[in-house]
Amino acid sequence: MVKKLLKYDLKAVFRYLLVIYVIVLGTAALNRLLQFFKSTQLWYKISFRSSLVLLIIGIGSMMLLTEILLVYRFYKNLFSNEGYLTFTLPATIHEQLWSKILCSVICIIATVFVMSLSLLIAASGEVFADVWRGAGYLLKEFVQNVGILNLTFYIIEGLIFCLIAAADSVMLFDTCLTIGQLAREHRVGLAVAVFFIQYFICQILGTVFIIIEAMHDFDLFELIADAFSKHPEAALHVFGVLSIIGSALLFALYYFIMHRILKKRLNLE
Amino acid sequence: MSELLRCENLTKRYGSLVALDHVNFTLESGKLIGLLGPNGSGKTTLIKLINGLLTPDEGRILIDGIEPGVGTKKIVAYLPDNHFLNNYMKVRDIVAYFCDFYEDFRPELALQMMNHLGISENVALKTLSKGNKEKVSLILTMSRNARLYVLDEPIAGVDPATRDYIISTIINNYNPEASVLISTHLISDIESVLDDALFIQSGHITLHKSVDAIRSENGKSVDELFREVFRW
Repeated sequence: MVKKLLKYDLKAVFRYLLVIYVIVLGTAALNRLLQFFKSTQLWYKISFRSSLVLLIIGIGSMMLLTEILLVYRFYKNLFSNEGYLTFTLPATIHEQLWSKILCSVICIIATVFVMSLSLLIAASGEVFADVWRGAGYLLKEFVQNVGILNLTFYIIEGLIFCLIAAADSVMLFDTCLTIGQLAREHRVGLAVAVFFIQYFICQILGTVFIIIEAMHDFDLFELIADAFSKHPEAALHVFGVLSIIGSALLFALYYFIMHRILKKRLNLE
Repeated sequence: MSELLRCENLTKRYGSLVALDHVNFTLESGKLIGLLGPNGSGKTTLIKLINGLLTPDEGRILIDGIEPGVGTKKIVAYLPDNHFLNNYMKVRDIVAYFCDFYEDFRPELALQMMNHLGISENVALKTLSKGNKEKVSLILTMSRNARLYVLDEPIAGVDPATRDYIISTIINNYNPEASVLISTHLISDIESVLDDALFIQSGHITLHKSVDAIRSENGKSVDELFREVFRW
């Protein structure tokens, strides 16, 4: 069932995303094309820099639009008129939620891939040769310092974290929208309020933590800096694992809230 | 005839407003039942509860012995009172969608009915008129071989010719062992096909009788009785 739901979720989002991808890749190709006419003339400088700025704006917009499209899909498919069909399909709430989560992760991966590809296209010319050489040198130094085994685990930890964080980035907004459905009226308004409330709670918790730190003469940042200077390889693993645990806890919290509300408190308008 | 739907002390509140107040009734299979009541009487709330789109505050609903969930969604075909299909989809895509999710969906029947109405399977839903969209929604719902069809205001807002088509589609396409619950306030259009009538007023079921019993006991048609009961 998740496979079927996912098929339609992906179709709905990629209808728009493919257009955005074509625009971004087209801008990258334009930038690369201009590099063939490299010169010191003013027209070249203006057109090259403009296309580069356009590409950067395009990539930023693509990242933002991916998130917006995913959140909009969640809202439209579940809480607008479409919800009458979605919630009368013979699918459990778990299946509905996993379809949305997997769709979000797949779309974000696709967007990151297109972003990387567009940067690769734009930066593959002679103009960026120094940047590549610098990056290659840094990577070589890093591998020599940490070793292949550590590098492999860093990559695995990084990938796991990125996948969960990608899901979290959309689930935060989905959860706010779901909580907003508890209101009888102004449901989107409540969702916006919930977003800001959770933001303020996080700020307050951060401040409380800093106060406690100060009261007990304890500096977390100093501790981290110390660990990274004494045992950098191990500290990076600890940091990676803690990041995974933190994002997984957030994932579980968002999932629990959404499932609970959709299962027990669904009130479609 | 076996019991298909049971509501026990069903209550639904929206804040201080009680939309359904300890509603109790049962429906048998093999019947066409009219859920009749004025605007705001609780018809749509009851229908949404049957379909699991709302959660009751008190009481419970049993459809074929089970509470609303995946099991009941497999056997209940629902037509909401608003346009619920994805507008960007083509007719053939939405038929494929129903085919993917409902094991009891009959695609040949759906496409045959749409061809009969001259609705091409290659057109996008957004290009169809309101009446044609309603016909497509109804055809999709009635093309399921369900145990219970729940139709919320299927004939409201369409011209009389379309209304006739919708009524004939309902009569000709439902499984005789299934039941059809039709919510409407356009009683005269539908009275001739109803077996039972369920009057709902201010969240209470005020009458549940067969149409024949209403006529013989009251000497009035259901439409006449409705106008009398719900007169302002």
